[in-house]
Amino acid sequence: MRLDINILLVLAFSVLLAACNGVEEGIAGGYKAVTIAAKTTKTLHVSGYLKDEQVAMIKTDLQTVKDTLDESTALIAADNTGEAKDRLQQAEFMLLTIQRVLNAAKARQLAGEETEVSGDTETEPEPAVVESLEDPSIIVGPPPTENTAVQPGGDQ
Amino acid sequence: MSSKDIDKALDIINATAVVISLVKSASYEINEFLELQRRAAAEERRITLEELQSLSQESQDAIDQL
Repeated sequence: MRLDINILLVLAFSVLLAACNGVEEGIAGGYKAVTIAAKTTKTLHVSGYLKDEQVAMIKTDLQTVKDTLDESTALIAADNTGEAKDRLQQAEFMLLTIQRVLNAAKARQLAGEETEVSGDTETEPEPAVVESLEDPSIIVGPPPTENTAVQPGGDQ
Repeated sequence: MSSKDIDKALDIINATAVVISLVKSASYEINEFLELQRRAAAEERRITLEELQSLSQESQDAIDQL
């Protein structure tokens, strides 16, 4: 079973970014994007689709993005809109670091290292298969098995 | 129907539940943001520092729960 989670994230981020007119709106949208990404990560972790170390990496990245947004907010408070805009752009780029973490997860799985997830490969879900945000195909769920006939919502 | 088929069906149901949960969560956050923006526009003002600080705290709470 494979599900396209990346589409959800891309849509969520797109709606937030498209709705932003000024710097304040951009910062607010950035905070919301971080919140959505954190909640998504937590849900995927709880459901067994992300490993602890993957979650730790994503958490670090999200904290960095959030700190940058805080800097941008502080600059707004100091009436330094130009610098605030620069920081906001940095934060937007840094959101893409999450993509790299998830890409690494995908690479590991392709390399067949995912079998060490918990020592029990029979009933535990496989780690998430995640691809680029620019190529919306974060796929959550185990890779196709030899008998996989129908995989709604997913294709490789 | 073999037990393998049943396991596969359960996998699909579980994964679908996860996606529904994610969609609900994301749409809630987006709606909240759009409402904040609409309110600011109706009052012909920018989003305030206090509102940004509130969003900052909210995102920090979400990160801390990881």
